[in-house]
Amino acid sequence: MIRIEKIVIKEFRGIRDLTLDLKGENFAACGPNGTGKSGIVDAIEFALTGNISRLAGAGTGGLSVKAHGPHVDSRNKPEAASVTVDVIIPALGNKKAQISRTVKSAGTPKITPPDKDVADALETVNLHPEFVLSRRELIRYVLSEPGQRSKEVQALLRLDDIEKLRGVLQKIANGCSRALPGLQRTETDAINNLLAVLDTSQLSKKSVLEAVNPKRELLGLAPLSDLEANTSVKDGLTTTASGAPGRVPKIQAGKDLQTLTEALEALKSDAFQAACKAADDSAAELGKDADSLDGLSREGLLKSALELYDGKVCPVCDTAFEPDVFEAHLAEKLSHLEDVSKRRAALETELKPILDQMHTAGTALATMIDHAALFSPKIDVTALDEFRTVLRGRYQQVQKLLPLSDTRDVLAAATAVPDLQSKLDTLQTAITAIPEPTKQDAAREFLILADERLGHYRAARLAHIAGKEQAERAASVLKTYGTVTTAALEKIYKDVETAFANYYRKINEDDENAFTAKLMPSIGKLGFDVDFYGRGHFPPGAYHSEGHQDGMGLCLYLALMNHLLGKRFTFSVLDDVLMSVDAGHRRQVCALLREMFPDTQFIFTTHDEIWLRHMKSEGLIKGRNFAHFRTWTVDLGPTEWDDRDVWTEIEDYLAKNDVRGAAALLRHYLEHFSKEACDRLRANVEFRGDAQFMLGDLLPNATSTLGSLLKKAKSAANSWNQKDVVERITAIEAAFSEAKVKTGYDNWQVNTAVHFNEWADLKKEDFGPVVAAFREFTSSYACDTCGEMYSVSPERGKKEALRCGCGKLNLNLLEKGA
Amino acid sequence: MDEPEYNSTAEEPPAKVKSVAAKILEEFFDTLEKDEGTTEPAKRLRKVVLDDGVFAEPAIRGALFPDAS
Repeated sequence: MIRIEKIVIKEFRGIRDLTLDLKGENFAACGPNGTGKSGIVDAIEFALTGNISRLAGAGTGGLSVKAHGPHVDSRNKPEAASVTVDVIIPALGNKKAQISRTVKSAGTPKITPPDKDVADALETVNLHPEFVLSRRELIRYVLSEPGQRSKEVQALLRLDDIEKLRGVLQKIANGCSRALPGLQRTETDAINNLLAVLDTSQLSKKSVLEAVNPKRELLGLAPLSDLEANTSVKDGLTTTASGAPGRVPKIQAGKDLQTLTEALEALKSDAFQAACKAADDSAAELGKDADSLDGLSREGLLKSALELYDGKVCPVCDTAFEPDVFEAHLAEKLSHLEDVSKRRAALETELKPILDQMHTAGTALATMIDHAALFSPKIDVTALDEFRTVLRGRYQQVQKLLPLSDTRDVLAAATAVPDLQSKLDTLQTAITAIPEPTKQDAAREFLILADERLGHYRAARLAHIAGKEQAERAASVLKTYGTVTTAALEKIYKDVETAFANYYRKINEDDENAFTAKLMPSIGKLGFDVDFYGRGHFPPGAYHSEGHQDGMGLCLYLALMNHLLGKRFTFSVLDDVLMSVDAGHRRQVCALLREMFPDTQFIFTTHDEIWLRHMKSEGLIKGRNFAHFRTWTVDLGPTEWDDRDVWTEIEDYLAKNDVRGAAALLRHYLEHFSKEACDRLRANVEFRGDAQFMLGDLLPNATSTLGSLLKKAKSAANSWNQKDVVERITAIEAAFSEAKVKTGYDNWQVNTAVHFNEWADLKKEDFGPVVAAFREFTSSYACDTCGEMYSVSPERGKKEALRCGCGKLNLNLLEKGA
Repeated sequence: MDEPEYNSTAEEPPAKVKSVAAKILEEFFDTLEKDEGTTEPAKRLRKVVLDDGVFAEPAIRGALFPDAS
C-alpha cells in the first residue's frame, strides 16, 4: 500500500482547484456540510482506482464518473477534470511516485516514474477500494442481516471467490447425484433385456458363455473361453441374407412380447397400486401444510434458478445480480428450507420403486415397438406408442415431483393402463406367423441380438460406473472443500473477533473493559453477537447505543483490514465516521488509531470542528495537517479558513463596494479566529451547553488571555534574569497593545453585539481601516516567521510555555522556584 | 521538513498482494492433491481457478472429469 504526500485536484466534482499537502501523515478535512470534503474523498478514490463509489452501485442509476466526475461547469471537458496524487510506497523503501488521472482517460492513469514495481504497488491499492470507509459502510458491518453481513465482510476480505467455488462444486455434486437413479434404471433394464435374450435369470460370465457357446457351436464357430469387456459373442459370424436387418427374431420377439405383457400387468397390479397409494398419502401429508408446499415449490424454484442463472440476471425475475450475490442470496433462502428438503428426500425414496416399474414398462414398450416396425407389412402399434408417451410423461412428473398436485394426480392414475390386449394379440399372431427359423438361423439371430444387447448393457454399465465415480469424486471434493474452507474461515473470524474485541475494549475501557464478541460463520451467513455489560451476547443493535455501534463498525473494519493487509495497511480514508460517538470515546478512538495503527496514514473528513480539535489535541493530527473549510460556492469550490484567502476576499468585497459582504465575512472569520485562539491559548470561556459561542463570548477572553500570558512570561523571564527575553516580550506586548487599540477594543469589549452589527452600515472608506486594524490585530496572535498562532503547552494541566509552530517563539511561563 | 521514515515496512519485498481467498484455495488444493483419488483433478482445478481465475461451472466440471463428454 501507499501513503499520500500531496493531492492536487482540478475541476473535479465540486472542486475547482485545490492542493492539499498531507506529508504522508494523518490528515483531516473539516468543514460544514457542502464545503467539499466528500469531493476530496472522491478525488483520492478516483486517482487510485479510476472509480467513484458514490457514483456507482445501488441507488445511483443514471450517474457515472464520465458524466458527473467533472465539475458541473466543466462537464463537457472531462480532460480538464484531473486528480494528481503524490505518494510514497513503504514497501519499496519509501520510493516516491505520482499517479495522475483525468476523467477523460480514467482507465489509463499516468504513473511517474513508469516503473513496474511502482505500477504493481499502485495496482494493489486499486485492488483494495475498501481503503475508504464511510459511515454508510460502517453500519453495514454491524447492523446487517447475517446473510448480508457475510457478503459485506467476505467482500471486504476478498472471500467472494470462496463462496463462488463452493456454489459451483455444490451444483456439480448435486447434478452428479441426481443423474445416478436414471443411470441405474437404464443399466437394470439393459440387464433384463439381455437376460431375456439369453433366457437365464442371472447375469454372469458363466451364464453368458453357457448361453452363447451352444449357438456358436451350431454355427461352426469356436466357443468363447472367456468374456472380456470387448468380446463379441457373434465373433466370426458372417452376415447372410437371413441375418440381414429387417427380419424379426421370432424367438426373442416372443420373449419381448411376454416381458411387455408382464410389465403392463405389473402396472395394474395390487402391489403397484398399494405403493402408489402409500406415496400419494405421503405427498398429501407434505402438501397439507401450506408452508411446506410453498417451501417445496420455492425450493424447486430456487434450485432451478441456481441452475439456470447465466451469471448476469436472475432467470426468474430478470433482475441483474452479481454471481456471488445471487448465489449467496439463494443459498440463504435454501438453508431455511432444510426441513422441507428432508421430507422431500423421504418421499423421493418412496417413489423410487414406482419409477423403476414405469421405466421397465417404458423400455418394454420401446423394444416391442422396434420389433413391430420390422414386420412387413408393418403392424400398427400407435396405441402402444401413445401409452409409451403417456408413461414417459408420468415418469418425468414423478421424477421432478413438483408441482406436488400434478405428481399426486399421476400417482392416483398410475395404475390406469389402456386396453392394449388386441394390439398385443396382433403382435403375438404376427410373431407366431413368422416362419420357424432353422436351427442355424435361430442361432444366428440369437447371437446377433445377444451381441447387440450385451453392447447396450456394457454401455449402460460403463455410464453407470462413470456416473458413480463422478458422484463420489464430486462429493469427496465438496466435502474436502467444506472441511478446509470452514476451518480456514473459522480461524480468520476467530482472529478478527479477537482483534475486534481488543479494539472495542480500547475505546470503551471506562465501562466495557470485559467486552467480548462472537463472530459465527455458517454457509452464506456471518452471525455477530456482542457482550452487553456481562448480561449475555446480543446483536449489536439490540441494546448498544448508536454511538457504540459506530465504534463497533470502526473496530470491525480495522480488525478486518488488519487481517487482510497486516503491515501493508498503511493508508485509510475515514469519511465522516464516528459522528455519534461522544467526546470521551472519541479521545479513546484517537488513542486506538494512534497507538495500535502507528504505521497507517488516516485521512479523516468531518463536519464537526470539535472532533477536529479532539484529533489535534490527542496528537492524531499534528501541526497544520488539516484543511478547515469555511464555505463552498459553485464558482470557486471549497474555501479554507486561510488568512490570506480571507483578507483577499474581504478586499475584493470592498473593491466592489460591498461593505455588507465584507462585514459579514470579517465577523465570520473573527468567530473562527476567536475559537481557535481560545482553544490554543486555553482561555477561560463561559461554558455553553449547546457549544454555540458568539464572537462576544470569545474574542475578549482570547485577547485578555494572550495579554495575561505575555505578562506571565515576562514575569517568568524576569525571575530567570533573562533580559533579552523580557525585551522581546515587551516588544510583542507593545505591538499587541497597539493593534488592539486600533480595533477600538475599548468599544467592542463593552458591547460586542451592537459594535459588530454596526459594521454593515459603515461606508467603504470607514470600514477599510476597521479591516486593516483587525488584520493587524489577528496577526499579532501569530509568529511573524511561521504564521502559526501561538499556543499554550501542554494542552492540559499546568501551563508551562507559550509557543509558535516553528519554535522561534518559546516563552517559559514558569517562574524560577515555581 | 525531513522525509518521514516508515522503517517498519521498508524491508518487505514489493510482492503482489495475495488475497485471503487465494491462500484458502491453495490450502484446499494442497489437501486435495494429497488424496490419491483426487491428485490429478486437484492439479487441474488449481490451474483453472488460481492461474486462470475461472470459476465457471463447465471449466470446473471439465477439470474434475476430463474424460466426461
